[in-house]
Amino acid sequence: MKIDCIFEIIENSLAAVKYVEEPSDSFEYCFELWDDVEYLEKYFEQNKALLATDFWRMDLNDAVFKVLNEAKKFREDILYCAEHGKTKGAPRLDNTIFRSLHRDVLSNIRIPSKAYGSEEENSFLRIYAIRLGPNEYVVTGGAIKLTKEMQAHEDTALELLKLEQVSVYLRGLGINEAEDYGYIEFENKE
Amino acid sequence: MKPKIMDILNLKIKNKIMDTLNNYELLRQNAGGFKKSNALARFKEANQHNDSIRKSQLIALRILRAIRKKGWSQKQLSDNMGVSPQVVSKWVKGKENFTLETIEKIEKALAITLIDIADEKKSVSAKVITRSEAYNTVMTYATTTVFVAAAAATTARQDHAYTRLSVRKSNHYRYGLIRKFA
Repeated sequence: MKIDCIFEIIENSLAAVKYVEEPSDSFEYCFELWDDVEYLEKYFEQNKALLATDFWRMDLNDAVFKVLNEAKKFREDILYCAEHGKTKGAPRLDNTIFRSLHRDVLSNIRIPSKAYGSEEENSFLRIYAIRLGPNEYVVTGGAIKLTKEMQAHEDTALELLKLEQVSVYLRGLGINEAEDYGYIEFENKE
Repeated sequence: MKPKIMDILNLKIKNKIMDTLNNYELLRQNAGGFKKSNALARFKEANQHNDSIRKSQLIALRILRAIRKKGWSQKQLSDNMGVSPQVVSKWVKGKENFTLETIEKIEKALAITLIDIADEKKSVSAKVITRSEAYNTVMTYATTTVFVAAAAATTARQDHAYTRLSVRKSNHYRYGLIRKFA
């Protein structure tokens, strides 16, 4: 993927990389896809076998509507943070929207959902970002995560590559002290 | 050639500013500025119309599943219906505000039901009637009511009579006025 430019989503807080190959910035593009029934039907048709595993045990129609509902919830959370994030004590991107992942995420983990209730509440959607500082992020991409390990699916494996690519890009711009290169996951908490 | 004192000062000031900038601002500066995203405005709009959009998305999914089941392409559906492929593409993305006419055409083309309003049919079966029809209906209802009431009263009277008769009979048995097996 070739980096085109950077878009600002929330002032002084959330930015997103725009790749040449994609029609909009990586943040907005995720939500465009997650709201596109044609894309979702095709995606889950191609990944029917994963939906049928014991972990998900889900019908395609239910999976499509799960994504649509999660995307709506994400939008609401982001809007809330954008509108109230500057207020003292209000939810901020840190801890409420994004959470830092263990470094092993790059090689291995889909963090167990112990903090998020039962397995039924596992979410499909992920936004990946690099944390630049307190409440400051740059989004590198996002994906529907169906497998435990990111490398196990081509979409999430590509997201790992994008995280690394943007890390290199940031270092090239003299940003060497970003707090969490590539270990941030934006997860829906239903 | 020696650098001018002002150049050195400017560089020092620039470096000092860079040192105090946080990473986010540093990225903004070194990436040549950020472009303004309209994502939040679009999010607001999407959430405002979520209920109606959700219905369109449900219809879109049913169309897609029917196409897949038939082994058709979207082009085949557009050809069968005499619409452009772009129209079908808009339908299946779940962004279309469908009219009932369009839904009916799609239902016929795919031989499926997109919206089931069978239950509602019963509640929307009221018809416009004339004044005389209304009068006749009311009178029929009134006559029927009177008839039913009269019949009920008759039945009640008969029941009462039977009760009295049976009480009388039982008293007769009780007092030996009737020999049952005599």
